[in-house]
Amino acid sequence: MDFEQLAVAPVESPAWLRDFQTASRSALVGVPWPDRKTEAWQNTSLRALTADSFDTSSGVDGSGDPNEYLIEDLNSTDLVFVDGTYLQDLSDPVPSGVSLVHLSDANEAEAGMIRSRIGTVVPPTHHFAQLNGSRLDDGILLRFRGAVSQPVRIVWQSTGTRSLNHRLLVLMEEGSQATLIEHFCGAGEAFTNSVSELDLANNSHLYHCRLHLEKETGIHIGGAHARLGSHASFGGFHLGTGGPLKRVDVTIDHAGAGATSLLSGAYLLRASQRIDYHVCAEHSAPQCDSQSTFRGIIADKARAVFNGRIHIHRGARKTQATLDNKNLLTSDSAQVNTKPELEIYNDDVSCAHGATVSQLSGESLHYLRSRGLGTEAAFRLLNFAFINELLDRAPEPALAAFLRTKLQSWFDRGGS
Amino acid sequence: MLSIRNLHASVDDTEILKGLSLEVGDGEVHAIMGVNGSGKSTLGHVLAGRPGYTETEGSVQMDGQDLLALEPEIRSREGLFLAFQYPVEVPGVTNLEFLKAAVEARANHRGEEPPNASEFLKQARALCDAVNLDQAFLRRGVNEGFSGGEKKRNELMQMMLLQPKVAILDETDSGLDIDALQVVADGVNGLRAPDRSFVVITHYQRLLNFIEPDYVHVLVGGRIVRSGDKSLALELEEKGYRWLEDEVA
Ligand SMILES: Nc1ncnc2c1ncn2[C@@H]1O[C@H](COP(=O)(O)OP(=O)(O)O)[C@@H](O)[C@H]1O
Ligand SMILES: [Mg+2]
Repeated sequence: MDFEQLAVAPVESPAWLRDFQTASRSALVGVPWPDRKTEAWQNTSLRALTADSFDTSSGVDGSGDPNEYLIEDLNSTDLVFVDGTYLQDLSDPVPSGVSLVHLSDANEAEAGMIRSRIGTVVPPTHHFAQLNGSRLDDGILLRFRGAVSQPVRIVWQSTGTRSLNHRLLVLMEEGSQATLIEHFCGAGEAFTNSVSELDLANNSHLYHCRLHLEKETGIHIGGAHARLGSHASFGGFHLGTGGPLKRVDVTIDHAGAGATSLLSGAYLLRASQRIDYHVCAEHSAPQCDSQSTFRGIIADKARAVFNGRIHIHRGARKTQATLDNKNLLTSDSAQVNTKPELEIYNDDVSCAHGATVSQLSGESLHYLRSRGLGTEAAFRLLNFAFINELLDRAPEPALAAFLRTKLQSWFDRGGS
Repeated sequence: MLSIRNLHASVDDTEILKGLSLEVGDGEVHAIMGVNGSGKSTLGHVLAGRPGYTETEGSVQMDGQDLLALEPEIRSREGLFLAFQYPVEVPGVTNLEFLKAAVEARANHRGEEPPNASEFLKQARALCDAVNLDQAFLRRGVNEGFSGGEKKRNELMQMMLLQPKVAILDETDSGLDIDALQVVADGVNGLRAPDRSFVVITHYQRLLNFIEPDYVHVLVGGRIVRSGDKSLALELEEKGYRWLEDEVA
């Protein structure tokens, strides 16, 4: 396959987006298709992608299943997309302080605003993001003003085999506060290439939760990229279950002085599933703090990749950055490639970086069994312990409860 | 209650227990003494079913049941308890959820109703007080960062909670000061009952001043070479183990 050849803009896209599509396309000219020699794809094979994966011709398959994304007691404003199409009937009206603009019907002012921001938060080296940009026909802008207390949830559900190019642009205005959940789900075999750009103006606060809960047949390559203005604060939470090919790039650019971020994530793999998280904390401004913690549980013959990078630029004095990745393998055939990267161009920083891989301890297991716990219960308790502390960081109790049930059912289905 | 006959067991293909026999009657307290490396902990691990410890000959019955045929968790639910010489740290699992899971597993196994959350919490707190462990330990990871003495008291608390039929205490006294020793002794003495037996493994005679054994056995090279009453412990204290080892050799 070939990026250039795949980068085809749809005929019916709005005129003001065309130059963006063209620019995205030209960035892909001569870019080779990633293989094992491409550094960013060293440990993740794209073999699961075929020409059919990129077929956008087939229409919306189903009407979606609201039960699949039900989060009990979560009182959120839901925006529901099924196979890339916004379904008004299943969605809630946005509360005050939030505006929702579909790229396909942006007015002139909105189009101008979108055009000036779109593609500026995602790093230019992310070729699948450019592919997304070149094929872009729709997407949304979410703008937050003031403190919005009700969480906004975007449901991205897929039902068929269609290729989906989700695009989300979030603008947090100065001083605004919001909680945003991106909930990916679906039982189909869709290939989703999604890009979310989160632009946080000075003193704004965003909690962003991204759940990759598609059934194991779905393919996903996507990214969530944040840019933080001065004294902006960002909380992130990721949960990923595996599939034939899943790749999530997370970048947080601390672009304004005094910005802070707290990022957590967990991935759970079994059977022969794959997942690849590439996490990068960019520090370009002084006095910023970033803390990232990812935990993975890998069972059976599954394989995970984690790449955690801290990049501290010359001007980023008094940066405090930590990145920590711990993995638990619950079988001899499970695998993880975890790679820490530190790039520091400034002396006046404090940085900590760690990655560990451990095998579920037979000694702990026996200790629990010697007190009467069955193997299953002991396994579950030990696995849960590994990940539980992260769940306590979820901002909404209902969300934490939902994630706990998800984990529980993952373990019940023989995750370990 | 516990009947061990001609037990042979290996660790990593090395035979450690070489024909050990021991009869523990209902309500009795037996002390097992011996130098380091004589196989005391191995006996405890074999009885508790630790992976890697394989019995090659002989039999063990608990209350008439073939103990060695049972999975480790079933042995526990049926009433066996081993207080580990080196309790295992399980970070991230709180003591409270661990204890609760243990009590529930046992209750379910026996077809009993497990205590509800508040009853259980009350009981766990009272036991903390009984073993002189701060209640804050309930919220900490199992044995995580506990001192040696705290770990031993945590083992004792588990024993009191699970009310076993047969309790094996592997050097629960080692490394304890005299006050902590008293706590251990009180714990054991308080549990003594006609339908509960104890095997107290110890290196020192000291503990036996607090817990009075009915029988004392000396383990040398994976076999019991001498049995007697508590005066045997005093004799060992006085003469050391050499004379017995020499005698065996
Ligand atoms: N995992 C093991 N692998 C091999 N040998 C072991 C292992 N554990 C214990 N042993 C050996 O078994 C013997 C008995 O050990 P142990 O039962 O711990 O003695 P005690 O508790 O009486 O000090 C010792 O010689 C010890 O070195
Ligand atoms: Mg020992």
